[in-house]
Amino acid sequence: MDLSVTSREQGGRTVVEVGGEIDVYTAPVLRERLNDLVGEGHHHLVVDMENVDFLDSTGLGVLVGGLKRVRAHDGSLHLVCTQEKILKVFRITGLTKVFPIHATVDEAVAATGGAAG
Amino acid sequence: MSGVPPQAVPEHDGPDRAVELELPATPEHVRTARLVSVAVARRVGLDDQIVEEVRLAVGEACARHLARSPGLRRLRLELRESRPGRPGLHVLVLAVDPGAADVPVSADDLSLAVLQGLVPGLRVGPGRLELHWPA
Repeated sequence: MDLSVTSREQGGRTVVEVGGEIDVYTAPVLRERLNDLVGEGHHHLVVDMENVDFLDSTGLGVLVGGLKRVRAHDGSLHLVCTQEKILKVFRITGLTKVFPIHATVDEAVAATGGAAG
Repeated sequence: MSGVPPQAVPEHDGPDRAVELELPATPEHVRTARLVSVAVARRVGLDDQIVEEVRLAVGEACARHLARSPGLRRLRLELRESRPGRPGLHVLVLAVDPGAADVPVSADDLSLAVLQGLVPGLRVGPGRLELHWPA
């Protein structure tokens, strides 16, 4: 598996650190992990994409699905990403208007109303 | 190696240096297609940033065929220099025997948006995606 997903709590928010390639092969793993987190009551997610090396539309679909799920619980899903090649995928699909994207986890946690890390 | 006569070695600049590849239409082999596309894109001398876009686009093209042609068994990839000696790349990504018509796409077709955003010359046909990076 060329994808890693770990999560931790920071400032009352759940930080999901994703690494590797999010594609048609690995996206189901991320989808399941996000679904599990929301099911366990984690409704404010910060998905850290800084170690993501590849992202296709399947991966975008999983993130959009995650956003819909947390929103159903009045939650939020923010992203952390500074990599130009990954940002480009969000930009060309118009999803920069859908996801708040931050430069650091601390910034994302603060923006969602969590305590400073 | 002394037994191999020099003329047995293929001409470096032969008339057709296309790389052709057929692979199982399964999610795990989309990565295989990406790796090959990166190798060929580098080989023809594309800039690193464009190589990265080739990688994203070829992966996306393969994933699109998988999503739209349930039961698809094979994917075919053809990569060639658009003009020998100049950095440009032409990639064909084909669904081999896609069977029934393409699954209709939803209004928010993320896959097409990704391809259109990455590929300067894109042609979309049933079971066929043509990706062109001009020299």
